[in-house]
Amino acid sequence: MEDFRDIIDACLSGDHRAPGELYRKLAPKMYGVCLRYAKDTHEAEDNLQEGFITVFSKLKDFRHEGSFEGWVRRIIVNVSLDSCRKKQQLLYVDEMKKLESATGEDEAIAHLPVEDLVKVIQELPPRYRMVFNLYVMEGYSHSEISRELGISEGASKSDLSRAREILRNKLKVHYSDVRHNRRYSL
Amino acid sequence: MSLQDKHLDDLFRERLGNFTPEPPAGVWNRIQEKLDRKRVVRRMVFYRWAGAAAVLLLAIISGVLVIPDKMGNLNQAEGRKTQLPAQTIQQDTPTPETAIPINVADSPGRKTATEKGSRLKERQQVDLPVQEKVRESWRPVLTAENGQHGRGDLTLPEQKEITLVMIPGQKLMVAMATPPDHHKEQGKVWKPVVSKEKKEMEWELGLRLTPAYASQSTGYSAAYALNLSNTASSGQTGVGGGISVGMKASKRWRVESGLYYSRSDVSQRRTSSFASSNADYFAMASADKNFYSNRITMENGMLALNTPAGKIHIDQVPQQSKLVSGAETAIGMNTILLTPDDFLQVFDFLELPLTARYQILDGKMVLELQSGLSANFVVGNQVFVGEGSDRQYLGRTSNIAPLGFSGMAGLGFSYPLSKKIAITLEPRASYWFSSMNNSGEVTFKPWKIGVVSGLTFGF
Repeated sequence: MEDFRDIIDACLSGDHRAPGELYRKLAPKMYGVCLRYAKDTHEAEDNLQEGFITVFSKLKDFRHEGSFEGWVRRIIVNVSLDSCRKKQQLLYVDEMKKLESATGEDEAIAHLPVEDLVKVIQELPPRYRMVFNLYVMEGYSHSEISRELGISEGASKSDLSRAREILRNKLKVHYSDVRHNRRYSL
Repeated sequence: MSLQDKHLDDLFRERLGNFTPEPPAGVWNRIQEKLDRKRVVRRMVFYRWAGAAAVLLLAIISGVLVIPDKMGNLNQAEGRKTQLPAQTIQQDTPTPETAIPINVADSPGRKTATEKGSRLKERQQVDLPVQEKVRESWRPVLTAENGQHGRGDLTLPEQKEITLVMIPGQKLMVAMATPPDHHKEQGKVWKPVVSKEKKEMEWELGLRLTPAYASQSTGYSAAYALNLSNTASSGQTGVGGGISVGMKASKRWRVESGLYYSRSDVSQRRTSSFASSNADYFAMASADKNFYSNRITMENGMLALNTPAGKIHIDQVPQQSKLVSGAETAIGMNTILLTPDDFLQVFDFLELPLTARYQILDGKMVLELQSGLSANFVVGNQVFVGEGSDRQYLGRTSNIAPLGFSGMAGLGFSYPLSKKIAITLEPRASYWFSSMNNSGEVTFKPWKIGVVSGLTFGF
C-alpha cells in the first residue's frame, strides 16, 4: 500500500502543489466509491468534492496509525451516507414491485461494462443502495449497518435481500438488452 | 446467506473493487475554490475577533486612562476648595524621599504643622490642608507605612503625627506614622469629614429600551442569484434592551459603553403568484399558486435554500409543505420546496458599543451628539416558516459570522427627573460595516433606525 506520509507532510507544510497531487492519486478510486453510493454522477461529484474538502480540512488530525487510503475512503463513505440521509427527507422511497427471482446474473456481471454495473446500483432505492454498498463493498456487518443508518438489523437484512433481488432482475434485463442490441449492431 | 447470494456479492466486489473512473476535471477546481474561500473566511474570522479584542482593549484603556485622570482632577478641584488661608510651611525642594512630619495639635481650633528643617534641602512653600476648613471637604490620599493607600474619611484615633511625603510631579500624599513617644501628648484624634458639597455627576448607569426598525442591504453572486427565487425581503420592527455605563471625560465629552440585546427578524415574503415572479419555474395546479417556492440544493449533505440573507440549511421540512423533486425549471431539473407561509430568519445579537458623546446644548434639557462603534455578537440564528404561534422551526441560516462591526450616529436628549435620575430619548441609526454572511457569495449588511429610550442614574 502506498505510503502517503511525505505528501501529507507537504500538504500540511503549505506546499501548494501537494493537495493537487494527493487528489490525483486518490480521486479516481474515491470517485468509484462515490458513484456506487450516489443516485447519479452529479451527486457523486458533489460527494467527492465535499469528501475531499473534509479530507483537506482534517488532514492535520490523521495520526498515521492506519491506512491513509482507508481513512479517506471512510470520510467519502460518511459524506455519501450523510448526503443520502438528508435526501431521505425529500425522496420518497419508491417501493418497487415485487420482482420475480432471476437467474443467470453471473454472466451479466461478468460481461457487462463496469459502468453499467454501477448504474444498476445507482438505480436502487437509496436505503437498499446504502445497505448493499456497506455490506458487500465495505464489509460491514448488519449490526454495524443498523447503527450507521439507524435501522434495525432485521431491516438491514431484508433491505440487502431486496437489493440483491432487484439487482439480479435488473442485470438480467439489462444484459438481455445489451445482447439484443449487439446482435443488431453486428 | 445462500451460496447464490455470496456468489453475487463476490462478483460485484470483484468487478467494482478496482473501479477507478477519472472524475470530471471541474471537481478539483471547485475543491480548490472552496478551500481558498475557507481560508479567507478563517482569516476574516480572525480579523473580526482581533477587531473585537481591539474595541474591548480601547474601552479598557480609555477607562484606565480617563478614570485616574478624572480622580486627579477631582483631587485638584477639592484641593482648591480647601486652600488654606495661612497655614504654610517652609520646605526645601523636595526630593522623592523628602518627608515633612507634621504634628496635629490637640487644640479644637487651628491646627499647626511643624517642620523638621534638617530633612529639607531647599525651601519651598507648601499648602498644608491641615485646617479647620479642611475638615469640610478634604479626602486625602493616605499612605500608611505598610504601603497601603487610598482616599476616604480619615480617622486616626491613635495617630499623633502625620507625615507629608512630597514626590515631585506627583500628587500630594499623606503618610501616617506611629508618632515618637515624646509627641504623644500633643495630639489626640484628627478626623476630617467628607464634604457635603454637591459634586458633578461623573458616572451614569442607564437602563435602555431600543425599539427599532431594522432592514438590510444585500448583494450576492450571479451563481447564488441563479438559485434565488425571491429577492424580496422586508424589514421588521423589534424591541431590544440593555444597560449602559457612561463616564464624563470632560465638561462636554462623555464616553459610553454597555451591553445591549436585540433581535432582528428578516421576513422573506412569499410570492403570491408564480406567474408574477421569477419563481415561475413550472406549471402548478391552481391550489398551489399561493405557495412560496424556492429551489432546493444540496450543500454539505444538507438541504439548502437560497435567500438574500444566506443559505438556509433545512433541519425539518415543515408541515403542509411540499417537496417536489424532478421539477422542470428554467435551469434544469430541480427540487422545489413549496411552503404556505413566509420564511422568518431570526437573529439575536449582543451588542458591545463604545460611544463618544458631545454635549451641544446645556440647560435643563441636555442635547448631545453621539457616534460610536459596536462589536455585535450573533448569539441566535433560527429560521421559521409562518409567524406568531403558528410558526414552525425550519432550520438556520448558514455562514453567519459570529461577530460583526457596526457604526452608529445619533442625537441624545436627556431631561432630569431628579438630581440623580434623568429620562433619555435618543434617535439613532446604525449600519454594519461588515457582512453578516461570510460565505463570500452573499453580502448582508443590516441597518437599523430607532429611538433608544430609558433612564439614567448619575452617581
